[in-house]
Amino acid sequence: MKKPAFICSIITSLTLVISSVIIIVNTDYINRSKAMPVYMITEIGDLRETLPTKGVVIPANLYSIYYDRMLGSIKEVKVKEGSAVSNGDALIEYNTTHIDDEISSLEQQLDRLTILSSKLEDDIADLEQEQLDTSVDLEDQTIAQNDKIISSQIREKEYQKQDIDMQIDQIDQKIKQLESVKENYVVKSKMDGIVTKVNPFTQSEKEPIVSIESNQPYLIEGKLSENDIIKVQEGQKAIVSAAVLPRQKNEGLVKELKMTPIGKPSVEEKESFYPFLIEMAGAVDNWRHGYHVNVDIVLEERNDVVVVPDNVIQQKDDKSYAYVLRNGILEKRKIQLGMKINHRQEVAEGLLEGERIISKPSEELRDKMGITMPINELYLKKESIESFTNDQTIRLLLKGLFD
Amino acid sequence: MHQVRLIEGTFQPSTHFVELKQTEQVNGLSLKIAVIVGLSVLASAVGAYLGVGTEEIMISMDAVKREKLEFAKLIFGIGEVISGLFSPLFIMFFFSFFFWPLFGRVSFKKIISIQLYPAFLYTVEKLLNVPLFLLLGIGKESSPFGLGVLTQLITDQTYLVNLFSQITIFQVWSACLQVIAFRKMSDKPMSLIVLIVIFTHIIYMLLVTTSVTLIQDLGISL
Repeated sequence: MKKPAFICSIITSLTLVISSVIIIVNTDYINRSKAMPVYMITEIGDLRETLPTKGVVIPANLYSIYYDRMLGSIKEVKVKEGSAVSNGDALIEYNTTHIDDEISSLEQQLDRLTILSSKLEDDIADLEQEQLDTSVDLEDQTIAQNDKIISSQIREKEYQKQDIDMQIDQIDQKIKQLESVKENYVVKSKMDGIVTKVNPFTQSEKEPIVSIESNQPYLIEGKLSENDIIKVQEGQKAIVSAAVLPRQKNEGLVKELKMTPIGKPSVEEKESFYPFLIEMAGAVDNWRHGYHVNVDIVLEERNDVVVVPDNVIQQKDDKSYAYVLRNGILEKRKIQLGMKINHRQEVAEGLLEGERIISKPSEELRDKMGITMPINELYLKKESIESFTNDQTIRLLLKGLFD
Repeated sequence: MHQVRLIEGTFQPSTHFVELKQTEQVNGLSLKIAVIVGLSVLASAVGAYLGVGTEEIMISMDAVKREKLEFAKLIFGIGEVISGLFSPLFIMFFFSFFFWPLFGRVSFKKIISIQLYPAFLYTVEKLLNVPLFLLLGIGKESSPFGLGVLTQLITDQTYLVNLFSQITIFQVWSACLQVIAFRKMSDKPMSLIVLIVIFTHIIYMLLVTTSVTLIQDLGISL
């Protein structure tokens, strides 16, 4: 081929190819599809805007039992330092010798009176038998006289017995009363916790005999800068994990935000710090007082909302769009955005759970664009051929043949 | 003895076809046909695996099970591979049977040797089309090597678009090679050779366009 003709051919060909590509890429005249789009399925999730900070585990309550002079001397302290105690467990027992002596004396009285009462009961029974026996052998007049005498004796014995029974009841009640007073001499724990201090020899009412720290629920104590504390409110949720148990996340609530700064505020300092307290929602068995924890205070939260990565969203003219793949066709859908945290975007309106959306949609995507995808051999099963009619198979073959 | 050299024949047809005219025996024909068919099948298989042209099947993606959808793409792909296998042979024999009676003094084997070059160019076009179609998301009718894109600016008539999309750089190149080959190898006047080649190509284009258009209208319901 001659050189000028060859050059002309090359130029013409290049012009055709380049102009065609420009038309294809930049205009909507040409029907295009998207090959191998990467898509994902929309999911329902939670979004949280959190303020990360640190804290330490402290007991919710510290309670001490002091020496009570009214109860006398201490007989026994029933717990040791470090013991775990439950609500209702006996902690201290005071001496109750004087009560025990009194109860013993009353019990002796009770025994005597019980014997007496029993004797009287026997006497009454004997008199009643005698009354019956005399009625058989004697004359009517004599019977009436005897009966009168015996009846009078029985009544007298019954009065005596009633009196003794009343005394028995009174002593019984007294013993019960003393027993209940005796219970007051055993001091019991009013909460679950750990015994932190035991001093059985104290005689001063100002010194505790036993101190207990409640272990459940724990409190978290921490500090926030003035820039952070302004964002936090009491009652906000917090996610807490101990530094030594980072995978175990526990929930709590901001219980208290103290208004007084830690230390003396100074102009030289960049910012002041304020203490806060978080109350754990439930028991955390494997935590200990003093553990260091990582705290995420939840400033804003959206639960059960459609959440997508922010790279699926296309922005145009201050409007947001996502490409939804339905029936093999791309649908450019306008969406309303909500909260966004760390590249995770809430879609308030426009997308439902389980829809296919295109990841990283490029500018070349158009509404109603078809798609093609490579054959996924994992889904190719021999038995699938049975689901095709001959007509369908022939049509597919012909389409492939003349594509 | 003449050795078929596809690249040389494609770029320096004048010298090459003079050699072909002078020779008694043509060597390496079967091997070259096998190479062309092999490349064509490879291009078709790659295109089929990547799902080129499966837009219509993908419309059923929400209606049928994934297994059926993938199998449908496989059947479609088998069709494409069969097409890849037979289309270079079809091009060679279609033109050869047309030219053989018209150029009686040129042996059939030599005519087949000449048609090897259009078949080779067709295969090259096919190999270039696979990445282009994937990249641009287009079909055959919108190949940038043809007039299909420009035709779509003027009309959306499917038949016309399909017809003009057949006119590609590679087809024109093939026609030129055929004209040069027969100019060197026969004693027919240039104008007649050009006429015969253009006429044959028009017949070929009409045949392919009609088949393609008819098959395009064939619906797939999975």
